[in-house]
Amino acid sequence: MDRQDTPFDRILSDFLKENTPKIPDASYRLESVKVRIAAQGAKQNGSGVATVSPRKTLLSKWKAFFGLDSPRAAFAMGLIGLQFAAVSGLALHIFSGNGPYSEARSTSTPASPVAVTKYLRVSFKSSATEGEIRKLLNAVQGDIVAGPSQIGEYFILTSNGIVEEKKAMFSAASVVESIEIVSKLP
Amino acid sequence: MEPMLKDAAAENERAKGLMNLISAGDEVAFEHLFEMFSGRVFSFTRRMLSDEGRADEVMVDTMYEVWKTADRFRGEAKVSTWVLGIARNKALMHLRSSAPQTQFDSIDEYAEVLVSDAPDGLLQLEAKERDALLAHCLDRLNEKHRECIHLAHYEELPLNEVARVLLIPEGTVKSRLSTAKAQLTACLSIQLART
Repeated sequence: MDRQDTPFDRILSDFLKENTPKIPDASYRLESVKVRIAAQGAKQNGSGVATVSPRKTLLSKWKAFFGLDSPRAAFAMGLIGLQFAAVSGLALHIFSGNGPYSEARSTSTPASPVAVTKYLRVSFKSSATEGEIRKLLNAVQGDIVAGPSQIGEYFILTSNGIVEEKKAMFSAASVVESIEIVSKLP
Repeated sequence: MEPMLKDAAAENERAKGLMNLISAGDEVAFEHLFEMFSGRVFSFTRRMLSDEGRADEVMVDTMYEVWKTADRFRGEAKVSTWVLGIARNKALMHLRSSAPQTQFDSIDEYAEVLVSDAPDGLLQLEAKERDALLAHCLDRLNEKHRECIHLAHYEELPLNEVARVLLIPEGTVKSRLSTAKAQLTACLSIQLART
């Protein structure tokens, strides 16, 4: 510690070390976390955290089913793939406007601009109560889609058309510490 | 380097190594990290929440968050600082959702006694009695002061590390510690006068 300890500091430290409750059953708690990790891994279908990727397992089962483990079978499948690519390329050429059937193109008007999803990264003051936060979210019709992060930030779903308006509403609230527009979730 | 600081540095290096492995999905590394930090996280959340069940829940949430976000740890802070920071935010969320408890509203309540050293008579008490008084007075501090006291006197973190966990300036940590100790001293003096 970078402080000068007084006798009271020492009494306090000794008291805390001797009397702070210890974790009741760490191994049981570890199992709880591991269950959640396994559930998350299954939900995300192996993206990122699962020890064994279900995607890899599926691929190996598929390969085993079609007997693709041998080099000869793999070569045959590769050849079929090449033929498929050639036929697809030819079809694309004919129907994309470069081929003889270019008049068959659609005459529909281009799609109207799509609303782009935006997020507001909001950090609330540590003094803010859950009630105040809920009241604010109701007032601005904001849906929390992620958070709190390890530094207490929440992500509010919005779109490019109304993002500035919503940002201004959050900024005006006394319980908001900081707010920023972001285009994707962490 | 002093032996204690050397140990802390070695522990942090080990924890950093584990974090790298965890971000690659290594569950065994996570088990080691859990062993290193779950107790400390539980003690901290227990101190903040004054409730074993909720502290337990927050500890499990915290360690799961550590697993999920290990790849976001950049190594700028100590692993313990980062983990305790996550725990603190989770505990604050729990505090927000619960009714306020009996706490010191203001130090004015105890304005007559504003020294931050052991009050007369505390040292003369038997350990059991002294511990009971300290427990009573610590429970009456608000969470801002309780978390400061815990990090500085239980975790024995340097002031700059306490400031990083709490996301406040070092000067604020100093003033919170000083206020907390003054409140404790005042509370203890009053309790001693009653005995």
